[in-house]
Amino acid sequence: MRRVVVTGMGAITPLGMDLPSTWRALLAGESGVGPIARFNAQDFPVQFAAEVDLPDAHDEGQLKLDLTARALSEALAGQGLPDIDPRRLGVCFGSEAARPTLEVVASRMRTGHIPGAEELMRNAPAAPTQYVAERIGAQGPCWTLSTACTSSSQAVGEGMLHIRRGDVDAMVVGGVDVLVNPVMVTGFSLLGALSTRNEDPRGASRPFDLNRDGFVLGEGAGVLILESLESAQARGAEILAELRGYGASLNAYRITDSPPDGRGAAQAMQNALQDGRLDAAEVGYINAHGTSTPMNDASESRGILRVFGEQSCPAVSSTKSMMGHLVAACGAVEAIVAAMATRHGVLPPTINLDNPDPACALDHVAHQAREQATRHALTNAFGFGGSNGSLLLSRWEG
Amino acid sequence: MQDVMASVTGVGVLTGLGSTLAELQERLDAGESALKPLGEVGWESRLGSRVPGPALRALLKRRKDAKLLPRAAQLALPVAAAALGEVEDRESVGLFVGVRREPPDDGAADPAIAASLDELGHLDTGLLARKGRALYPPLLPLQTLPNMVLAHVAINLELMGPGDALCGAECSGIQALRLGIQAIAEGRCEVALVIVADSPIDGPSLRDRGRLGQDGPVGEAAVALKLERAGHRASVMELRDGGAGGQGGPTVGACQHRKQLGACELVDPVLELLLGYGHATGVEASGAWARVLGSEAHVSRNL
Repeated sequence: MRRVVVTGMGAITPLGMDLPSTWRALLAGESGVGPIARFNAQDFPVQFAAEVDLPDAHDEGQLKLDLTARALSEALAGQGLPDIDPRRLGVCFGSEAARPTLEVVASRMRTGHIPGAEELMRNAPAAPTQYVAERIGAQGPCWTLSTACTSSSQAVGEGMLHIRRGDVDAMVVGGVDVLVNPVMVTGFSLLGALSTRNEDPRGASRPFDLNRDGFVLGEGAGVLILESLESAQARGAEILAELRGYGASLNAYRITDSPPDGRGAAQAMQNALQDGRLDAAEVGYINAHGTSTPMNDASESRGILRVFGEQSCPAVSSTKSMMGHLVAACGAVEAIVAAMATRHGVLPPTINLDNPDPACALDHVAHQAREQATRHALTNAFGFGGSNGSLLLSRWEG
Repeated sequence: MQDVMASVTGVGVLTGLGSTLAELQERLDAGESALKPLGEVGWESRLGSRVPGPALRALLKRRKDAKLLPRAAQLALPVAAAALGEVEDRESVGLFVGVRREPPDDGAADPAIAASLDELGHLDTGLLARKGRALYPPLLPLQTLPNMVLAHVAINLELMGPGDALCGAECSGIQALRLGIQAIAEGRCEVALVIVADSPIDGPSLRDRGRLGQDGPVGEAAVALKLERAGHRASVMELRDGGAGGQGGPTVGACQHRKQLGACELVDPVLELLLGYGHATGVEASGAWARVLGSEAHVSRNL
């Protein structure tokens, strides 16, 4: 079986405009959540979010491409791509459709104007994938996965499988999402999914805490350069991590709810471990999906305990406590976080975890980062509609 | 040539020309067309093929979920059930779905936006928060996510194996099929259900297609294939994996069948596979299927 390694990473998140600044903020336990700056949200039931600090963010489709471009540039900046036949280079990206701003929609209602071809193509779910493929000249598989919050976790996993199967030698994988707009704030708050802790935005995302009340909308992009071990070694590339396993499952439960017994989450984690040919006891850290919704965190905790048991539960943290929920981008960004944790031997914390919920009795990395040499880490992503994805990343030891 | 990697052991089809494969083939052979002016959705000048119904009640675990189902999911559910048939262990069935894009939601949100405009017709976020919000369809975000076909089929048929939703426009169908084949070949699941469903004949979709220069006839349809291990005793078609293919441009098979059904690009790759035609991305059909359909041969065209 071909081994797949990571040789480039880039992230733009509410915590930083690149991976080093994001990583520093994560280890410092900083929060990227604050009052919404993009539009006047003072009359909305939810008035805060985790925004990326970009000055011109009026066009959601363009913003997605901008975020993708920045994360891609960072991922390529270190070691670039292997010099290979472009047909042996592919792209796998997780994203969803961008939406026109309400101002644009209102203008259309007023004038009868309808969207042009360029806007339609820019807003399509596959637009970031096509952008990446064109920029790097990829002529291999070019896939867009769209499973809500699981999108980019599955994009990373499917990208790995393409290399492992021998379809290609390298893949650019990742995800992007931009959701802080009046429509999404309205829609998700009507569903009761968002925290309404307007008086304390920085304390709003509190995964696994007894007083959690919903997630915090975030946005960002994450990009990883994956290649076969042979390819990386042949060009003398520094290996940042090994992507060792991928597992997926479906809940078959409800559109918005997670099954209380955590069965789907457990199945995805077990599948990832089986795929990576690893025993559960060898995993030292889980970057949890940990959205801060009452239902998800309890369900995921049960899933973790089903797989690992109470006695050998690895360290767990949810970095959504600091950067909010990046939705279609969270899987890729959190895979990067897991890779960094194994590489540097430090686990980022779950902040705001003041009163751990007894229903989430895990080995939490609470409040402060924990120095802990960790060879193998899992990262989870679970989506609306019941899609689950788990990735297994390992420190490269030669 | 690659080894056979999976068998097709069940098929579900829903098109404007029939809801069974036999009916579809018979009407295609008779040269019938399902295309009609789409006056019902306000586009009398455009031709398209619509699917009657379908009846969903018996398939839904919770009847109230009917209002949640986008049209593509309504089409997908019965074909999924038909293709899957009886399965002992539904919890391990994999589900791979090709979808086009989210249905445009600007029409459904119009009342909320209209209530949020100031006297000059400009959007006022304060009005949106105070008035428009109450008119915003609360379930809209859940009806417009691309993975809703995957979700509704998984929930109602109780499928819990690996699952993916691919959203790469016209090539999504063939990509979903490829994932299903590989999931079987690699032992990720014993049974995989591959679904492609599309309904681009609502007003906003027709408008958007027009802006993209896609003014030809359109059709709504859904196809589902049940895949099991290669050489399965119930096999009606054996599938090889001819490679990853390129970026997956539109399917090339310009056959009369397409014209009769309507140019439903998303469904084309799988539908053409069903009908014994080759396609652009390398998955090959072989074996008995061509004979079942009375077609000449299995064709592989890596174009």
